[in-house]
Amino acid sequence: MHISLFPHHSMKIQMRKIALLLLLLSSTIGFAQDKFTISGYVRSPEGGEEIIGATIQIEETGTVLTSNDYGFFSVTLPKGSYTLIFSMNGFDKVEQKIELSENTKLNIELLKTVTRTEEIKITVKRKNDNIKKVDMSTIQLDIKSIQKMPALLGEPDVIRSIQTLPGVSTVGEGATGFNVRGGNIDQNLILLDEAPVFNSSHLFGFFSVFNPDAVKSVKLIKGGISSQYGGRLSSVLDVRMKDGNKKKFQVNGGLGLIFSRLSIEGPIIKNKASFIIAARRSYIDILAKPFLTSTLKDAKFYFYDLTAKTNWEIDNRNKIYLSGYMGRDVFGTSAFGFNWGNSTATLRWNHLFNEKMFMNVTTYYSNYDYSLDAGASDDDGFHWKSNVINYAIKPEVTYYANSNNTLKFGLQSTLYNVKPGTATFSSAGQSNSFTLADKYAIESGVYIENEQKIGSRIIVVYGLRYSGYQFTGPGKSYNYGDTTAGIAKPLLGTTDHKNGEIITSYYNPEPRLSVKFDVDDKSSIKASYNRMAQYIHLLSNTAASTPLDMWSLSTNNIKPQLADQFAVGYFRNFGTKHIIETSAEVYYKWMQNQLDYIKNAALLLNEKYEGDLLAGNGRSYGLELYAKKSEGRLTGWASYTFSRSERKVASINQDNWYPTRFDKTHNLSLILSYSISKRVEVSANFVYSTGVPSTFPNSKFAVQTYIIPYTDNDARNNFRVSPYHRLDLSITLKPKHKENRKFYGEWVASVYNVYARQNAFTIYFQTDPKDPSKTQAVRYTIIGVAIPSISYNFNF
Amino acid sequence: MKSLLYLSAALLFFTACEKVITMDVAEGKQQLVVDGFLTNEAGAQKIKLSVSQPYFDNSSITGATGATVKVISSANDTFLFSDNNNGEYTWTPVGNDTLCKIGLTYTLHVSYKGSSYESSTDVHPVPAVDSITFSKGGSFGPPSANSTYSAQFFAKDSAGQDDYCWIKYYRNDTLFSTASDILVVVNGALNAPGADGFEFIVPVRYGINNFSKPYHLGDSVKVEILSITEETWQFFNEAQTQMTNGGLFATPPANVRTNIKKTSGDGISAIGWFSTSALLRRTETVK
Repeated sequence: MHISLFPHHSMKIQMRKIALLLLLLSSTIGFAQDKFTISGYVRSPEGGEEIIGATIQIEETGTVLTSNDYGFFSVTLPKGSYTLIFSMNGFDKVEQKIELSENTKLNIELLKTVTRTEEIKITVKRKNDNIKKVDMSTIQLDIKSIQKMPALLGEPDVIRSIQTLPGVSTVGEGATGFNVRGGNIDQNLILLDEAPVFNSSHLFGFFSVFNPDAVKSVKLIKGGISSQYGGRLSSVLDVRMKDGNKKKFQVNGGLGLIFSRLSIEGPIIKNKASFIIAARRSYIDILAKPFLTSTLKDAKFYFYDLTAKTNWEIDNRNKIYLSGYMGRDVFGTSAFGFNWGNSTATLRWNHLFNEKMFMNVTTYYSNYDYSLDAGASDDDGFHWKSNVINYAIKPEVTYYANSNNTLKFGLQSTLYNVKPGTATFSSAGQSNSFTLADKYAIESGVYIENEQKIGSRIIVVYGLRYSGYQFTGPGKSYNYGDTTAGIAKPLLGTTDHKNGEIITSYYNPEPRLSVKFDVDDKSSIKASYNRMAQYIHLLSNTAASTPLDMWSLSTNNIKPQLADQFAVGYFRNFGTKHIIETSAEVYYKWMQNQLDYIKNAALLLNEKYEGDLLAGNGRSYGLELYAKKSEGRLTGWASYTFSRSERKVASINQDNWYPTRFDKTHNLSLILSYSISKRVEVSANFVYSTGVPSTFPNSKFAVQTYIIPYTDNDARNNFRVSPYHRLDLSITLKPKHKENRKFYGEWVASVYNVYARQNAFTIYFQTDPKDPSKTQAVRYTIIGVAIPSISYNFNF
Repeated sequence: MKSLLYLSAALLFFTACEKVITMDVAEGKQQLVVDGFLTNEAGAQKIKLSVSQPYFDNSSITGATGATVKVISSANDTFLFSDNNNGEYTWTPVGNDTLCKIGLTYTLHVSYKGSSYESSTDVHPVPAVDSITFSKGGSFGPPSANSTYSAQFFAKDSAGQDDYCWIKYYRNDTLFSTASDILVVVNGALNAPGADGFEFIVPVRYGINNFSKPYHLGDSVKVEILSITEETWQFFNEAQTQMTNGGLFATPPANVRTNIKKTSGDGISAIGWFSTSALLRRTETVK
């Protein structure tokens, strides 16, 4: 395929602007002779894992740095003596004094709080990282606090924890994905070691694809999104895998009623190369077998996943990471079934040009596929398979210019190949197949961003991402005629396109800006603006997204989605040691080209699906309050969101604004853990949210033996189901403390949905099964009972 | 080497539950409802007229009486339907005359309370039910030792054009009549282009079984295939979706299509469906 990255004229102009910006920046960056650089890695002592997002504060200057996604940091300061304070949630703080008279390498190992020894000096004063950092609308969760939460069936889960954070909602229990600040689930860029994951769920939405044993860090960015990210409107969920223990072999395993887990990690070359392999397999189907009736006896419902990663430190300047994920869900009986799964592979190369310039080049492959089967044999049945494949390359350079400026620039280019599906029909040995043509597109982005410190109180991050998208051949484009909004657009004709031919192009400048202003040493005000563009869309017309929903590229008929978001926040810490972190943020988001569907739209295996799509605008706004306490006997967080999320699409709801399916006025989460003693810890979750909107019919009519619901006013989401609330509890019993204990075991007992609330997922309408002449409304609850579970964790 | 083993014993209750609830919903406007499904069978044919009701009004359906109902074919024959004064209108043939001749278009004309309504549709060829077979076991899938039987019917789609069919099936002359029993096919498959000229595919062939009402030895099983138009096929698909729209993957409720148009008058608007079919059937006894 021959496609220049940016063939468009306007792109050249834009490139010139970027070059100018670069020039401007470099003029602000002085090169003084008497300055030196301190650089290095922040690591954990046990496995030698690099720590992402550790805070480094320089006491003398008040400078705050963060270790990057590979644990690297760099700062340039005038000659002198400095005190560097390294801190990270879940680790003890480390204070390091430095006499700076030459460029200095400093690799720091933080100690996990539980394994503290006496030799390291510990600072007790909180350093207010959350106040000092420019990041807003961003929450980094460590895997430990995820594991503390009472979990459904005792299985801690990344996505379910995310749903307790402010600004995040879900259409209901068991639903795939999550909604951020009024965005659809496809508007979250979910990255697993930088490769996008197209479906983050196992068992529909009960569990997520991330194996907690193999996860190092989880970061959710809802606003003030850095220009390094693009391609989705609403959020970035950046999940990084563990690198594998560099010092010794370690086996982690688990046996549960839901899954079994096993992971092995260890050095390949001590302190230079290591690996981790983690696998899970669920087996509820095997356990459920005795309880199933004869017709469901051979029912399959299980999932498995495999996560693997290896890294190799070639020398001081070069490091390579290779990681992969493969998972699959399988459902069905011998006569009917479907399965879906993601696979991703990421290769990364870290290169240090010098102590001030860090480069990472990432290439990845990601594939999401699903297939549907009916029929017991190859001679008789129906088979359908669909894929979304993408390949990408993404080089990025960070230049730690001086203590006031950190410059980041990079490129990203992704090739998409969407295979909407091949359906094969066979009957009595005869077969025929029907293929919807493959679609290709290239999405590219170029970006530059500078983080600049102005005086001692202000940090500004300003950047620009310029994204370009080409929908290309080989393939077909469809030309539709205009019609009344709300009915399928008529297909006028199709055009065949050659390999590499550009069918449609779109370009979007995406400015990004974040500002932080310190009010005093315990509070700050932050503000941000970001524009995002999204070129790939999930076509989903159901209450919860199904694994069979199709991903569609932007085409000549489907325009890219755009969002502009403004957010302002006040951050303040309380308590004598500033141990309670709080924040209040307000946001407003305006979204364009939001997809909706005509009535009874046919989205699957329909060549003319574009004719069934509608596009409109979206708006969302809200207030988010968050308080977190991560030290002491009582830890946890409270989050409250007041928000509104609406769409306006011609022909729907009589052309008026209507609330989205995930619009929840009030959304409250309380996540608390309390250490009663050294051996006993109790945890509780409480969640409350306004019921989701739904559409109810106001009349009915009879045809043949059927009574069909009908609405005479075309309203959308005109009622709300009852509020959702739930309490979960857990208790952990730990063994007595002993020196040099080899065997450690703990009991965890938990109850999910303690008071057995029957929360409405949907309300639907049917004829009374006992009297078909009558109709009724039925409340459908996914989990309507209390679910107790007990688990035993041990290690030796 | 340090190892961590995690052992969990969880009591598992994956329990979804459903509960009938009462709701307060504003009442919708009343509309004239046309239920006109005609076939080429010998004997009388019926069209029903009624008025729509508020969704939670569970009183019996009110027939619309006093209307004039006639059907005119593209061969210019007029079929008058007489008012039975209960919402039903009947056409009684003279001699061997039948409605729904393959290849013709039929137009329904209804006059009710000063307004006129119209609908047109045509009649397509229909494949025969070649055979019905039974296997011991569950109501769907491979045979296993059990006292119930699953039935499979065979029919062959004709190659070339897209053929749409509605399959009605009966156990001991009782129609499987709930929304989830609706079975409509295109080219012998449930959906989508691709199949053509085949033996009706699996799972369609097993579509005449209902989990909760399995067949037993000695039962009579009747299968009828009715030719329908693409529009009617869509109507059934939409109606089935709207009547069984529960669970995790419910779609936003949307009105089903209607092919009844008001052509004149200030009376109430009309909804409903008019369809004309050729019909073939076969009956077998479970043995």
